[in-house]
Amino acid sequence: MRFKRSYLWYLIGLVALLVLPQVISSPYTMFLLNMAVIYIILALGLNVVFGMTGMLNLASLAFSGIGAYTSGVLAVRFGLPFPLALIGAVLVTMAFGLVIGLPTIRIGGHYLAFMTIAFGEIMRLIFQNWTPVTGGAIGLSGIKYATIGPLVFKTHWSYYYLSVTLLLIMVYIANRVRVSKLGRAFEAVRGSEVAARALGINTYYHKVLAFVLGAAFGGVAGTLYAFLMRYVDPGTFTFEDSARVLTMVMVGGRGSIAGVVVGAFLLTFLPEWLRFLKDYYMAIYGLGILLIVLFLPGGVASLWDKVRARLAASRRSPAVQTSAGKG
Amino acid sequence: MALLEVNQAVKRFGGLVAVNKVDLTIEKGEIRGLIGPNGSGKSTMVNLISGVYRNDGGSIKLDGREIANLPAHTIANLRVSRTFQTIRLFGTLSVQENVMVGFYARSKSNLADVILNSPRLVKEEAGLRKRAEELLDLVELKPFKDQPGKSLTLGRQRVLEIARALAAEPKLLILDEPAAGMNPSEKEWLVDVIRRISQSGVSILLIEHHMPVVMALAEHIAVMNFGVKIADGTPEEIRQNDAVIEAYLGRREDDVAVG
Repeated sequence: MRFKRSYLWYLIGLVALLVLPQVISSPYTMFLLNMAVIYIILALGLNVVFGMTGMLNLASLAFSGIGAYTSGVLAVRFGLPFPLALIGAVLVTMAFGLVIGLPTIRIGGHYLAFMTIAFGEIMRLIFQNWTPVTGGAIGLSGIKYATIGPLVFKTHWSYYYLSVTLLLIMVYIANRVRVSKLGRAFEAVRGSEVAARALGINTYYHKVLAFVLGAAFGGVAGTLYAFLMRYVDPGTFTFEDSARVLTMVMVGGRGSIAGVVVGAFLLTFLPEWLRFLKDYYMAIYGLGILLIVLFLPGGVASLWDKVRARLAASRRSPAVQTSAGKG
Repeated sequence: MALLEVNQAVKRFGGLVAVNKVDLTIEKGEIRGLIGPNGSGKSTMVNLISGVYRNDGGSIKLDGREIANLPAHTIANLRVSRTFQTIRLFGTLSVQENVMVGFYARSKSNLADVILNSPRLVKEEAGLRKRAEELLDLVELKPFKDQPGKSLTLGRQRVLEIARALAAEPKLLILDEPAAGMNPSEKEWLVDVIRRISQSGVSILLIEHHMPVVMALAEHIAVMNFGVKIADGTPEEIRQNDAVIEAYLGRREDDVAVG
């Protein structure tokens, strides 16, 4: 019964995702929708690293930049099609995650956050100045339309189906991690490293693993970005935007997949919806974030949990409460 | 052969010698008590045995194998589990999930199983859930299994930590002041739980501040003060030991009343 109901919800969600582009007529909105998908994937990656494992990574955009440039270079200079460029980009970002993660995670704590900021800045400088490969300040242009076999993704509408497919795969992976022993190990590391070790969990290994997994999400997001714009600009991958991805995870709810999806979606579209505020926009936006962090520290996801807990509490019989345990 | 043999263990923090050449033997299947006033070095001993601290001298042997200075997770995988004096539950996980983390080292599935949700993983996961429920049943926490671990009362959180440590199937279970912060009825419950665990064949090192709990459970008790072991014997011997009475039992009214 319960299974069937949850499958029904999945089906409704899937149909909604597929039908959504049909009711949108503006190319700009479609473009934003694609950007939202990219941000959601990035936020899901940060959710593994920060949300579940508790490591503050402030270089989300650096990883997506590596993904974007790798797939871009593979496509432009080596003529690889989208799927191969994607695989290459994911492997390269994971390799970067490993190389950066191994030394910095050993240092740990707040230093990790500082190191990721430094890493982000270094990558930005490399994107901007390694002209023979990245195209330097002018950027990397000449990326052809994404193709998979006979399928060509030319418009923002068709591209949406490509990005949403990848999004579903990434949501699936993120969810598998979350509900499995791996997610429990990550949450254990976040909860108490000493206790996790006392249960036989190699915390260093798991932190590096989380970091590398998170980087893979950046690789996918970066590739989607490169083929959406068909041009990669070094000015895109800023610290400010990495902080924005962090905000998406916080607003959505650390550790919650659904929450992070909603958070990233909201924060991509909010600037558009609040455009009428003009100069006051940043003030209102900031105030909103502040209120959420203050009054809803578990993010949007905890709102749902609260409602559910309230329902469960009213349903639960008081007998269970008193008969359990001796405390 | 004894299960655990600590020989002349030393731990220094700068100029302070927190543990000074302490011997401690735990036989298979016994409940071993370790008591002493605040700051006597009991918890430092636990942290030495479980690998949280590095050993500055002496040896620690588990089943004859040297384990001193091994990484904490390696020692845990040699089946030494512990609880903490300051509760360290995984705050974002449910009661049942907290216990399931304890199974981690025993689990056979790999990353590919996790991503693909392979039949092997599904089967393993179902088995672990059931086993976690059994453990929670053993410590009478099953009704709370879906609640966040942090939502339990302090006493129940301590017992949940014990269940979590048991999930790792320890040969040696170290309980660091499990009765701290418990009310009298919770303490009774705790004694009951520890006895049941002991009957299942697990050796236990019980570090306690609260005398009735140790006296009721331990077959042998070691007493520490200022980093050295001042006595070691049966509860009866400890009760009558002058050095112990002076160092510990004579200090506080409530403790004297017990002895």
